[in-house]
Parts: sequence; C-alpha cells; structure tokens
Amino acid sequence: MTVTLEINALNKRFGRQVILEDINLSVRSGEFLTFLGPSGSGKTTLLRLLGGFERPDGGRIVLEGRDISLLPPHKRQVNTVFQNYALFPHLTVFQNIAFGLQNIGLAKAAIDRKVDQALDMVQLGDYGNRFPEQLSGGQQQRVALARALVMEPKVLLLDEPFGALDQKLRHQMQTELKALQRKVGLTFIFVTHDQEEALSLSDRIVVLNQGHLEQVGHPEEIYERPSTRFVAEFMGMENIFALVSVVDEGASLCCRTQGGQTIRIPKQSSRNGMAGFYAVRPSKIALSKTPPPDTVANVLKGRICEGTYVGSAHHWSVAVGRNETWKASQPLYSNRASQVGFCVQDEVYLSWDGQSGILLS
Amino acid sequence: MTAIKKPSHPNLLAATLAVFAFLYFPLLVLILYSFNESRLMVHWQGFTTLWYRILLHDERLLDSLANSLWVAFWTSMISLVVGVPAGVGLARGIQRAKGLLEVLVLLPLIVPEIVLAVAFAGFYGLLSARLSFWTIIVTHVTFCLSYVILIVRSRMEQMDKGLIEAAMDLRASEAVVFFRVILPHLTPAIISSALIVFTISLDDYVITSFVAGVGNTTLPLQIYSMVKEGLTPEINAVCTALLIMTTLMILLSQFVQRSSLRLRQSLLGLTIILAIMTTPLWWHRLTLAREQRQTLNLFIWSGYVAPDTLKVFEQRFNANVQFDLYDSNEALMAKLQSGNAGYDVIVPTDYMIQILIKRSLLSPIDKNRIPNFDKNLDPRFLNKPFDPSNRFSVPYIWGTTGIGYRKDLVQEPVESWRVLWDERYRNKIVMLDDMRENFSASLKLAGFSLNSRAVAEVQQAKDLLERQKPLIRAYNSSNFQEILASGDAWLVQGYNGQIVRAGQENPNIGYRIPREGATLSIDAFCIPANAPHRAFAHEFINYMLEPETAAAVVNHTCYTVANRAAVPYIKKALLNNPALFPGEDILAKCEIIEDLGQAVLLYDQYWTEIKSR
Amino acid sequence: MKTSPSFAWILPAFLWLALGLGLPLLIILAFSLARREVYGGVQLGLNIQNYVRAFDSLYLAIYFRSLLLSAATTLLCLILAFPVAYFIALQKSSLIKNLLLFLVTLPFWTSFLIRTYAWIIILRAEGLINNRLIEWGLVGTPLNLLYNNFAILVGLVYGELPFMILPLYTVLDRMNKSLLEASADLGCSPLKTFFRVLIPLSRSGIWAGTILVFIPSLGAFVTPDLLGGAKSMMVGNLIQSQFAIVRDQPFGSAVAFLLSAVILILLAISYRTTKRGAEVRVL
Repeated sequence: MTVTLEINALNKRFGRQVILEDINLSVRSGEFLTFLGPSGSGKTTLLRLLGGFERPDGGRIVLEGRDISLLPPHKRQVNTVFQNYALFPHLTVFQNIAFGLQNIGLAKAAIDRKVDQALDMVQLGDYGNRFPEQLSGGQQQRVALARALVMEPKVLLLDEPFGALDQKLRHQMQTELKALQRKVGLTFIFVTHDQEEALSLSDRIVVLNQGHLEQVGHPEEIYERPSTRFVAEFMGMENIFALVSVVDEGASLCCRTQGGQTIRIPKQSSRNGMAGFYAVRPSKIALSKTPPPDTVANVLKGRICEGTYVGSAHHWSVAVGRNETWKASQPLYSNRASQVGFCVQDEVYLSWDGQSGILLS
Repeated sequence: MTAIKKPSHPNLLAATLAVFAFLYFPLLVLILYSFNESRLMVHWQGFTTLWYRILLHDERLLDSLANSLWVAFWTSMISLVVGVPAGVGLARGIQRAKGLLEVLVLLPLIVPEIVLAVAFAGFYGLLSARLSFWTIIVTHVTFCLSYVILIVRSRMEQMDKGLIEAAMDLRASEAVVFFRVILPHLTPAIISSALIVFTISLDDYVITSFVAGVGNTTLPLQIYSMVKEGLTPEINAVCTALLIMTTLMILLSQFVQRSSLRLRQSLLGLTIILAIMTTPLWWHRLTLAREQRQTLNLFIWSGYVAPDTLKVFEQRFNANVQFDLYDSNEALMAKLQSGNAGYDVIVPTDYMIQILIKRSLLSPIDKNRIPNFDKNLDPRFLNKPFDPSNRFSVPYIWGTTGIGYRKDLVQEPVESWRVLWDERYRNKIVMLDDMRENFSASLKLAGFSLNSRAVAEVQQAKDLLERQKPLIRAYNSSNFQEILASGDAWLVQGYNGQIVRAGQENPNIGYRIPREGATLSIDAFCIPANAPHRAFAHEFINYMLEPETAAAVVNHTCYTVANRAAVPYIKKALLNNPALFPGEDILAKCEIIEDLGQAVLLYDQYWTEIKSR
Repeated sequence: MKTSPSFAWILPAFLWLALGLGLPLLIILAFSLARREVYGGVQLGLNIQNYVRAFDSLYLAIYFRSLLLSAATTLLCLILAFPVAYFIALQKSSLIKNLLLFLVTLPFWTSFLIRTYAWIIILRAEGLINNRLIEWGLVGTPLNLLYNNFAILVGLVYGELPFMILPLYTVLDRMNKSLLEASADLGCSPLKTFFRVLIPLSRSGIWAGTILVFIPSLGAFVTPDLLGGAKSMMVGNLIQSQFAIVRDQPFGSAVAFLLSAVILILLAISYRTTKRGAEVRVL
C-alpha cells in the first residue's frame, strides 16, 4: 500500500480563529477517502489547502514525495471538482473539458481523443457541443467530473459534489462515482457532511470536528466503534451517557453512569485511553416485561415514557433511575402477533450483552 | 369578445407621458427645424435638405467632427486597456494602494467639471506643455478611466469566483485566466463602458475648451462657437446627425449584448479590427494637410474674416491655416497663459496689447517683411500710446462700441447712454459681457474718462451699473446683434460692425454713437513670443494688409479696417454709413481703452460685485 | 478568493490617475495658497488670503444662489421623476420596462450642448413657445422665458432628470409590491399610501438621485452661461471667470477647492446615512 499524499501537522488560521489544527494524515494510493464533518469543521478548508486555494500557516503537504504546501493550484498535480461545478458558461462541454489539456500544451489531436474518452466515461458522448446552461444538474456534475479526470491528477478532490442534487439522483450518482473510481483507480478525496454518503462510498473516513481530527478509519469502524462522543453522536449513536467511574473488575470493566446505573463491558471491547462515556445502540437493547435471565450482562429497569412508530420498528424512550432516558428500538416483524406489545407507562426491563456497548472519550 | 383593458394607473401614465414629452420636445424641435426652409426657425416654410448639404461642405465643422471621433476613439481604447485590468484587480482583492486608488477613481465623479478643467489647464500651463490632440486625449482618459474601472469592477464582483479557481485548478496561468475566463465574462461591461467613454469624450465641452490647442477644435467646441456666433439650422442639422449616429450606436450595442456569446466575441473582435484598420485613413486625412503645406496658426475674433480670405491665402501660399476663435481679450490672454497653444498670429485689442507687451508675451514685428505696412495703413491709427512705434502690433480693424437698437420698437431717437438706463425698457436691454466696456458706458454717462483711475469716479460708475442691472436682459459679447434681431432685446451695447451687418438683413436695426462719446478700439495683428512660424506670420499679415483683401473683409463683416488703400474697394453704402465711418467731431469724443495696471483690480472687484447681485 | 493577482494589474491606472489627476489637483491647491501677480501670473507662497476672500459676503451671495438653484433643480427633478420611475417599475413586461428605460436615457446620450441650444430656440422671444402663444392670442407681448433663472432651471432640470429617474426606478423596482397592497388593505387611500409607505421605502433611491442631481447642478456653468444670459453668476461661472477672464488663478483655485470640499462633505454625510455609496451602484 503506497502512500500518495502525506499531511503533516497542518495548521490554518483566519486571523485569530483557528480553522485547522495539527492535522496528520496519510492518504493511500487508489483509496476513496472522505472528509466527514459538520459545517465549520474545517473539512472544506482542508480540501482547499490540498487543492492550493489556501496557504497553510504551518505544517506540510507532501505529494508523492514532493512538498507542495506552498505551490499555487496550477502547479499541482491535483484537480478539484467544485461544489457548484464551476463550468465555464461561455465554453461548450467539449471546450470545458479540453480547457485544462490546452493549458498543459497537448497537441490538438491528443486533446480531442482524450476529451472524447472522458465524455464516454461519464456517458455524455453526444453532449459535446452543448453549453452548460443547456444541461441538467446531474449532467453538469458529470462534465465537471470529466473535466477534472481528464487531467489524470494524482489525487482528485471533490467538494460536496452531490449537495445540489435530489435524493434519488444523488444515490444514483454515488453509485456511479464509486464504480468510476474503482475503474480508474485514482485516489479520490471526497468532502461531505452526510454520514450515509460517507459510509456508502468510502474506503476510509476522516471525521473532523472544529478543525481537529476526531477519528480516521474504515466505515465499519467509524460506525460501530466510534472513538469519541462527537463521532458517535455524528454517526447517529444514541444512549450516550457520561460516566462517573470506571472500575477494573478483571475480565470486564464496571462503569457507573451519572444517573447511577451500573453497566459492564468486557475489557477487550474497550480501547485504551480515556473513557468518559458509555454508548450502546438502541437496536441492540431488548425490551421485556419480565426480568431477563441472569446471564445477561446489563439489565436496567424503567418506565416507558414515549413511543414512536416508524413502520419498520417501534422506538421507545424509557425513563431509568432518577433522570436518565434510554432508547430502545423494537424491530417489528411480519408476524406481529407473536411479539409483545408495549405502551406508554409500562414498566419494562432493558437488557443487552456486554460487547454491544462501547466506551467513548 | 375580449374585454377592453383599461390602462392601470391612468394618472401615472399621464404624468409619465408628460415627462417624456418634456424630454423629447427639444430634440424633436431640433430635428424638425433642421429641415426647415427658413433660416430663422420661427415658422415652417417648407421642407428642405439645404442645411444638410451646407453641413457636408462645411469643412470646419466636418474637421471638428473628425477630430472628435478621433479623440473619442483613442480615449476609449486607452481607457479600456488601462481600466479593465484595474477594475479586475480591484474586484479580485489587490490590497496594495487599493484605498488610494479607490479615492482617485471617485475623484472625477465628485469634483465638478469646471474644477477639473482648471486643474488640468493649470497643470499643462505649469509644464508649458504644447496643447495638442494628445493633451486632449490624455485629459479625457484621465476623467473617463473611473467609469471603466467602476463598471468593470461591478461586473467582476458578480462573477462566480469558482470559475477562476477552476481555471487555475486546470493549470491556467494568470494570463490564460484573464483572457479565457475573465474577459469573456466581462464583455457586456466592456461594451457598455466603451460606449459611455466614447459618448462622454465626444460630448465634453468644459474640460476640452481648457486643454485644446490650435487646430484641435472638437465638435462641441465648434458648436459652442457657432451658437455664440448665431443660430442657424445648420447647427440643427449637425445635432440631428449626431443624434441619429448615437442612437444607432446604442441600438447596436444593445443588440450585441443580447446576442449569443459567440456572436458577441466575434463582433467585438471585428469592431476593433475595423477601427484599427481604418486608422491609417483617419490619420492620413488629419495630417495630410499639415504635413504637406506650410502651417499658419491663427487666433482671431469671431466675425473678423470674410469667407474667402483664408482660402485665397492658402491657395496663394500653398499653406494650411488653422484658426480658432475667441470673443473676449481676456479669453485670449487666458489661452496664451494656460499653455503653449502654438498660435502664430493673434489679434488683440489695444489695451490688451499693452498688457501683453508688458508681460513679454509678444515678439517684435519686422516691418521689413511687411511692405504693406507703410504703404497702406492709415497713419491716424499708428503710434498709439499702447504701442508707441508699433513695434509689436499692426493695426487691422478699428471700431466703436455704441448702441444698437430696434427702430421699430424704440420710439424716440437714441442719443445718449442714458437710454440704456431707461426704466421703460426694462428687460429689453443687453450689455456686453465685458468689464471695461460696461464701465466705459457708465463712466462716459457720468461725464468721466473711460480710463479713470480716480476711485470716486469709478465708484460712481459702479453705482450706475448696479442700478442698471435689474433692467438688463443679458450680458452678451458674441451675438448681441442676434438678440436684437430676435426681439429679445430692443437696445444693446455692441460693436458697430456686427450691428451694421445685422442691419443689412433687418432694416429695423440701427446704430448710434452716444453724444457723451464711446470706446474706440483698434485690433491689431500681433505675433506671440513663442510662435512656431514667425516668418510665415509676417507673410500672412502682409497679405491681410492688401487692399482687396482688407476691403473684402469690410464688405463682408461690416467692420472697418485701418487701411486707407482699401477705401476704393469698399462698397459705397458702407462708406457712407456714419455708423462705420463717423465724423471727426464724434471721433474726438471717443477714447481708446488703456491698461490701468494695478487700478484694474478695483474694476475687477466692482465688476464681480455687479455680476453677482 | 485568496490567490490575489499581482499589483501590476492596477499599476497603470494608479499611475495615470495619480499623475494625471492627483497632481493637477494638488497644483491648484498650491495655487489657492498663492498670490496673484498684476497681470494674472501666479506667485507661489503660503497665503490664505484667497480663502478669506472667498467667504466675503459678495461671494456668499453667489454660493447661496447656486445652492438655491441646485436645490430647486433637485426638487423639481424629484417631482417629475417619481411618477415616471414608479410607472416603469409597475410594468409587468420586462420588455416594456427596458424600452421605457432606454427612452429615458436616450436624451442623455445626445450632446449636452445640443440640448441646451434647443432650449434657446424654444424659449426666446421669437421662439416656439412665444410664437404659439401670440398666435393663439394668449398673450400680447412675448414672455420673458430666456436669459433668466427660469431658463437656467429648465436647462438644469432637463439635463439632470434621467439621473433622478434611474435611482428611483431601481429602488422602486426592488420594492415589495405587496406592501402597498397591505397598506390599502389596512385602509390607506392611494395618496396616504404614497406618503406613508412609498416615500419612506424609497428613501435610499431618493437620496441617491438627490446626490446625482444636486452635485453636478452646483458646479454647472455652461447652462447658466448660455441660458442665463451671463447675468447671474453661479459658483461654476465664478470659477470659470477667474480663470478665463479675470485671470485671478489663485482666487479661482480657492473657490474651486471650497466647492469640492462642500461636495465631499455632502457625500460623506450621504455615505454615512445610507451605508453604501449608492451613487456608485447606479453605474
């Protein structure tokens, strides 16, 4: 696995405000990497630093061994697909795609050939003579993509390219993009705030929060084993509770929540490091009216305070102890008759096994 | 059946129509009367294209039009070349000197034109720069740049910045970004700012009048002097032609802006190519005359030459005469002082000659080169106090300043200056727009010399003038005879020549020298100290002293010359006209205006007071 | 956009304006502090005499008259421009809107001198208006329409009107029309709506137009010269006469500077109150 892009201790400030701080990352050749985070997390700035539209205040960016930190955009071997496509309105689709090739001085015949190839690759072969304003949003998107790809960059940067598309089109484009990336084998760096998108497209995800790197890892890691509270919350984790104490009991750790509940988690499930929170997905918690057997690691007793029916499941909010609300999700199967029904104000037991939960910093 | 639609807001519609009528009425009048048979533009007398034909043969006017187009073209081109990058740079966030530049850009829009004009004039005067086309163009560009910069910047700010980043991302260098991405986006801004600059340059009068040199008369300057000389439908014709031309230009630009990008770009390129390609033609036309022949630059009173006077000279000497007109000695002086205008021959009046001599602005005349001097000139007009041995001046025209009046409207005989103070003629009196002449009239009325330096006397004269002011219709030194002819005034203080000439067309116009006496003025040829063609100037003066030439001037302009050899060639009717050739007794009461040195400051002050009440 | 282009872009313009405009203005500043030589030359020095003299009551009368005339011009323009601007803004078809705007600005493209000259023909004693009036027996003797303040006013209003219509139109066009409907819904007659809703909402346009009309009127001199019969001096005429006739360049420069200063102050106030240089936006 070769490393294409190396980011070392990258810093960026606007005046006094810190946008990015101490970013360290290695991007592998041929991978689909996503910068994920809410607005203001610095992900777009990071992308722009890679593209050369901003200059870092500290740190380095090394592309295949060459320090490009201070190079202007037109001297870097990276290309960007802009959020609003930035197609030149006065040039045809063909001319748009040819633009970059003309700047590097290719012969006309070579340019024509490459542009035709690029158009075919994004399935816009017949649209060469149209102007951008004559194309739909999705088509413009593809032209922007072709224009960048035809330059054969070492890394392709995509700045929330699907933001302006509707749901259905977005899914379709995502699939196409992933397939394209596999086919072409280029390193893609993709920016989005949509965690579903990130999960479905990426080989690895980089989660950013307020200019800091929260976690880097494969989609399953990010989803199943977030390392921080922020990442967990961002990925939709619920049932996150602050812990007042964590006691080592040999094979497992005994955690005590602020609300006074006791929870156990096997030691190998947890990571080394600070553990400030405990979290478990609602889908992993079972509800019952009768107390569960003793073999179950975690059991809590509470009263249902709210229930939401969403078709495929029933989401229950259960008040536990003095002031904690735990969420449990009861999947609804087709043979409903055999399932137990609950209603608000019912006294219930919540149960789940040890390795379902995680500790977060 | 469809319902009849009532116009919404009928009141607003009516008001709008009224305002539009107001806006277009003068223009329609102009256009209409350019086709009118009658010269007077009062009644419709039939359709004709006469004035357009005259226009096409009026070389001076056509020259000025060519000059204007030439200046406007170069002004536009240079303004674009300098201004477009600046507009782009400002919009893209250049920090250095940005604040200062923004202030400089706003200055021409804030500072009044007259202030800019005097600043430029003072500047060139200080540099002793030779006033020429280039001073005009440079000046025009200076105050037009702002429009280009602001319009371009505004358009740039509307541009999607992402396009520039995208271009850079695609390896475009700064030059490629500018030419292939920014410029296409800017096309509408370029077209509209070029149009605005072109129009402003074409139309500018105030600033140009201060910085134009001899032979650089632009169209507005020419129209201004034509208006001052007298209104003829020929001016209407010029205006109409300009109107049509401008409208076409705007329509064309609108069309170009709305058409597709591709068409736009090719049209723009075409226009520039065409303009540049035809440049040799214009340049050729403009410089042809000057290069091939000897040049004489003349600065003379409007109305002091007959139509053929200069042409004959040009033919005989294979010369090219460039001439500019003025209507006051002070204007002459100001032009001489403000920069090297390059005149060879000027025609100042007596007291002004005195001042010019004192300021060393004249160069001595070599009488050996002017044989007609001793042969033809009337000795009565030589060796006057303002230039004792005529070292610097050669008398040309002499005249009196008296009272012109409408015989049909003023019942009693006009004998004294007092009639100009008569309450019965309130608002029907016009005085010359000339400080010394006004004081001459009132000093004479009060029984003093018109060259008085006695404060008490001048004060009295000033009081008289102040009392007269409410009765005055206007102050006018250039076409007072016209105001008399049109009936806007019944009595005017004016120069005898112009009034007599008007009298030839309208027998109701008469002239009188009041019994208290009047101003006698002698205008003489002088050669400025820095004249470029001094020897040739002498030839010209000698030519003007020839009997036939001088007589032709008299016969046409009705001004009398100080040339006794010309008498046999002058029309009898004029010779017998006491307005032009008054008796000795009357002449004895007339005085020549003298320069009063420091004392003139008092006159200055009083005159301003009078003018500003 | 952080990758700024180099200074070279604005360098030529900067140099041109600094040398061609800044320098001459500095020169007449220097002149304004100089002394006049007997025959009209300039003796440089440091002398505020000219400025002191510029505040003499004699000249104050001139300034006052200029201000009055300019104010009258501005007011008249406002009154005439409002209905037109409003009418155009109310049009639904943008084709008609553009056509009307085009027609409003077309006279502007023609020569200013030409337009002034046309008024001479119309207003003089044997001009169009008087002729018709006499023919139709409405008056006995010709009216005095030329060579007075009335003619100057007509000339100034005529020249400046488009500059009042355009900013007013811009602001009226952007205005939310449903506000007027709401006002009517709440019981305001059209006239009341005009004063209580329309005028306050178009304040920025009124102000922009006022600046665009008032300032050039203040410095006008061709119009008073040709149409006013050179009888009443406005500030512009005063400055011009100092340079072209009286040859007192120092004094003329001082007055010129005072005029510019007044205008700058007016603009500064305008800038503060509207927070944006509205007059620039109109371009």
